[in-house]
Amino acid sequence: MDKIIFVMIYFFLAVFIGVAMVILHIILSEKPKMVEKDKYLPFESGMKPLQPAYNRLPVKFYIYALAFLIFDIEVALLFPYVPLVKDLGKFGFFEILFFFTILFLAYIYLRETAIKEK
Amino acid sequence: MGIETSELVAFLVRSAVVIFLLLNIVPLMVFVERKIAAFVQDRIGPEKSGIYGLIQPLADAVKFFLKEAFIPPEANKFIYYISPIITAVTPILGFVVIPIVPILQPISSELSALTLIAFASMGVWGLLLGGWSSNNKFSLLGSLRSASQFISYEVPLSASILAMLILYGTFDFLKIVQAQEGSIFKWGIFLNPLAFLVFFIASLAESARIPFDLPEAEGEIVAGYHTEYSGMKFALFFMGEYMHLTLASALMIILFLGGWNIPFIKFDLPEDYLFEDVIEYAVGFVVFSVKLFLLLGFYVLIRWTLPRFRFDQLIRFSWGVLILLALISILISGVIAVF
Repeated sequence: MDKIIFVMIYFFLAVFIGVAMVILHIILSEKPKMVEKDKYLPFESGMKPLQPAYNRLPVKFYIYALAFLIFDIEVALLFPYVPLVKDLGKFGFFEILFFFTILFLAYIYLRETAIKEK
Repeated sequence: MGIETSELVAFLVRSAVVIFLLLNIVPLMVFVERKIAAFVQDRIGPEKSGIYGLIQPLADAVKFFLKEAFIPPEANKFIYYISPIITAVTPILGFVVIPIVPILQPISSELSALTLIAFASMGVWGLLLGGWSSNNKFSLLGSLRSASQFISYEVPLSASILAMLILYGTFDFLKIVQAQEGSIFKWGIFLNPLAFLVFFIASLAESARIPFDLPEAEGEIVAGYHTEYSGMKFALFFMGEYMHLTLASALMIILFLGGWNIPFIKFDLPEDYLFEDVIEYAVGFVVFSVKLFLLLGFYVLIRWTLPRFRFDQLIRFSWGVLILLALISILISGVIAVF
């Protein structure tokens, strides 16, 4: 319980440094003497933007986000095994092997559908 | 709650030292990077300011503070301000459990590895929100790229960490380093080289370095997620990247390269030696720093050697090769730990 308080203190210390840097920058920075309208346009290599940036945009890699959910949770499910490796011995290892076999089927499916070069 | 004052003071001193060291690694790394870049490209590099150009990073820092604090008028101001802070703060948070030497670990916990993974994987939020909030197409594209890249390399990274944790059978970094004491062949890199390979490649991608620096590919999307950032807010992104690299190298040293242990020698002074602890910790700190800077220098050399991937190659490499290798390395660890 004490350690969580320490982590919180450390957290606020680190965030304080980040915030302090941004605030110091605002205080110390030079203010522009003359204002030109085009300076405040979004940067597009010198062209005036034709559309707003928040437009409809095809996100082609959403399938990897779905796959990430599966595989990251599989990894997270394996973490409880770590302190029990020695205690569970061979039984635990074969359980993990079983788990991996199922995971591997999902992986082969992913490989054959999403990753394959078209 | 039962926190003693002496405990609190010791903790505060430890964390202040660690944060101070970490913040100072950034200008040092910028300097090393420029000098190595100059060496690789047969130039001299910065040399006008101070002896051997050593004051150059300081001048850079002052310049960052004095630049105009520019905000794009159409940006989402709160998120625009907060995202560089997230990027810079998450690697500092990761260091809360890294034992440089036992006394320089701010909090020693049995769950250090979990804490570190939880903190370090927050870093992607900074890039994603920063690119989204600045209302620029290049930024948005850059942040989408970084999101898909970080997501793809998060899995092999955490899987290779998991492989090493299974090998040592503990979450505690102190115990992991103590398990590697003595012989060099007890180091993680000899026990499970495959996990080291996966971790090294994935950590390159997680800190967005060449050959995986697609979130900020200049030729394609100007500067990626930080196109609209300038001054200190840009520098915070920059610092975040370098500190992330430092965190990855420190983790690599702890999991694979024996922490503060010296190869082939067991450095252990007799109990009644004068200042026994202090000398041992000082030697450990020096050893850790040497390993850290060798790794960081290697990263820099890679940056000036390799070309950049194409984006679909990058994603396919992670899902097609790295994840498979990471899963195999978990099984190898399981075999070593059990049989």
